[in-house]
Amino acid sequence: MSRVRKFNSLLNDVTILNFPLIGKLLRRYYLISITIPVMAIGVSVYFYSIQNVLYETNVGFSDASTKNLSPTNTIADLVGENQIIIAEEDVLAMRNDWVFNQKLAKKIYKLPDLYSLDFNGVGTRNKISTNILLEKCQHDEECSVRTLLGSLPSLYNIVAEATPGRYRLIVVTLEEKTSKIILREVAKLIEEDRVVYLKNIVDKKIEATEKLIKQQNVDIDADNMMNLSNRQVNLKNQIEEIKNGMRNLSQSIANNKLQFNTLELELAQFNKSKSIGAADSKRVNYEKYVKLNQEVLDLRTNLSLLTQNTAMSEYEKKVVVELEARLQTKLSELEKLGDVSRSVSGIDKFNETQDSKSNYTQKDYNVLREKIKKEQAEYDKTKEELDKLQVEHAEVSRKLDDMKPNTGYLDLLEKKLISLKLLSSTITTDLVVDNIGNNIKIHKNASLSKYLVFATISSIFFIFLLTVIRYLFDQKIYSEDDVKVFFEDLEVIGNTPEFEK
Amino acid sequence: MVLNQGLKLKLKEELKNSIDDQNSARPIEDRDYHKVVKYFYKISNHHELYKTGNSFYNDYRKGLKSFAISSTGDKEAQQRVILGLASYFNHEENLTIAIISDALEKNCFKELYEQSEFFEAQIEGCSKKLILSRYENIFDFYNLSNILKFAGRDKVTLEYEKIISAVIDNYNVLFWDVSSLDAMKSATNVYQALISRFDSLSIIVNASESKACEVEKIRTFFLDYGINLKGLIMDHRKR
Repeated sequence: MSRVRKFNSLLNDVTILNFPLIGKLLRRYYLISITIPVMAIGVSVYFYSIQNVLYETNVGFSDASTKNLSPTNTIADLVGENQIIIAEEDVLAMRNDWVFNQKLAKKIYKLPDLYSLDFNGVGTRNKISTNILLEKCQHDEECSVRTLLGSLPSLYNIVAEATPGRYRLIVVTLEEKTSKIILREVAKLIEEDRVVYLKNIVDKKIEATEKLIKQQNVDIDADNMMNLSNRQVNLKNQIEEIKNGMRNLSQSIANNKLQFNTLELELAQFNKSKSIGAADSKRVNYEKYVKLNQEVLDLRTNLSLLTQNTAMSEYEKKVVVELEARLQTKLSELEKLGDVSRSVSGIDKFNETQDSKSNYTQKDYNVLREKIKKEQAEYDKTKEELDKLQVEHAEVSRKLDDMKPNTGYLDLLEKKLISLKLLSSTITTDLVVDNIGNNIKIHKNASLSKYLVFATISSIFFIFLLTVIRYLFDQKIYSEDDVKVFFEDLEVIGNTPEFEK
Repeated sequence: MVLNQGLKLKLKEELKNSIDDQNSARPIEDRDYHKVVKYFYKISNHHELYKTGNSFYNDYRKGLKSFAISSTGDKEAQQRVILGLASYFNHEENLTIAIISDALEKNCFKELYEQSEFFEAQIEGCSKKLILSRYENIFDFYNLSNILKFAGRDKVTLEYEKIISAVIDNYNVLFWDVSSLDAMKSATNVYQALISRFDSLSIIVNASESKACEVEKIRTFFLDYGINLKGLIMDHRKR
């Protein structure tokens, strides 16, 4: 309970800590207040004195891609490729990249003055020479590289500067020459490794594009596409040919029909002439009748020809209407004349002449009728064939249309491949290291003032901590306040009297 | 109680006076017979003595007379406090004061004890005489060992009880220089009769040396005998 009361007495509602009491405790346990700072300062001075002397050198480098100064990215822009930008994290992570460090170790191992370098870490107490370090490897490269790999990453660091895209490579070793050499080798490797990295990215893109092209070729089935294309051309030619044939056939049928109609009229006329015993007085009317009949025949022929064409223009339709009107007029005139043929004189003689003609006409009529029938049948058959070819042509065209996007994609891929190959052949580094100077800074890892500041802070902390602990566990009574803490129900009557001697 | 005749008369007279004036201190000019001890004026921190002494004096005026002074092992401080309190009481009022200690030949008692006049008092019902020493007719010193001689080896005798009662009854104020806790624990039966006659107990705490557990131990010991702790007296003198 007394400890709880003691702890509570250390706290204050307003100032959190009861500073007057803490001050009193510091005076009471003055040995802690003296011993801790003395020890802390002693330890700090000791650790400062045993630190190694460090040789630090550094060089800056820039990420050209951030300022659009990278030649690679300029070319990438030209060929329509995306720019390859390096992130700050990637630059800073180089130091911890195992592959990067392995390359560095290999480069260092191949240096002629390898054994004169000092690979001891900055905090090393027991230094060992490179000879001893690599002794176990007995000039085995793999083993030596592995051993160097254990030391090298701790000797350099990459830090970002305040300016975006600016970095600083810092090398700290225990020997001046080693610092300079490692700085030079790391700087070179940063540039080289970046080129390899960029090339690797572009090569991977090339590889992926080639793979896509190959796959696309398989998907499209080039042979099939060629066949379809040829078939489409063939079908188109065939359809054209058939259409031409049909056009000729149609023309022929029309002509034959016209001729057939003429023959049919002639035959009708012959038949009528036979029955006419016409008088001379009616010859004139008869001649008029023949003329009108001829005009009607012409009109019908023209109408027949015009109406055969199903897709008539407006003008043609007007002509047809006009012809039909004229035909009606002529027919009404014929009707008014009546049967004038009977009144024609000399009908017998006329009939004899007409009989001989009629025989020939009948024969032509029959031949023509058969011819028209055959042509019509041929026309229908050809039309049927044309329909089939047109269906097939539409199907082939649809298939080729379906293939069109794939072929477009393939074209794009091929263009992309060319761009990437161009880019790959022109890659340069985008991490550009400044000129390496001859600056070297000699110092210790931490300054004495830092140690003293640390000693002061830690002393304050430990003095406070130990004083509080000592107070909490201290059973001794030092003052009336302690009496109140230990014995809540007891009071201090006073102090003992002092007698003068 | 059969004491030296002179002492007996004096004691009776003083006892009477003290009863008359128990609750009101007489004006100092009336105390013509009052001998203020030189030790009172040798005290360098009078304000502390006034504070402490006044507390005890108030208790006395309330009817308490047997004051035990203990400590966590500082006998010298115990004697200083007793001497200071006795001087204060004597300075305030003309009272008969007895100081009972087991170390009269040591520390600050030594000088007074050596300058004291020795008497032998025959207590009624007791076979032996009790030796006491008087300093300037102000304090009577009793050697605790002389009182303890009347006690039996294993149990408290009637003679021992009588001696204690006689001593307590014949003084206005008694200051007990309490023996060490170990000594009392080793002879509990003998000390029990004494302890039970204490009216109050005060413990001297030596700053920076006395521990709370030691104080608690003494407090618990006396609490078992029904003696309440009056309070603590701080001693800032370095040993």
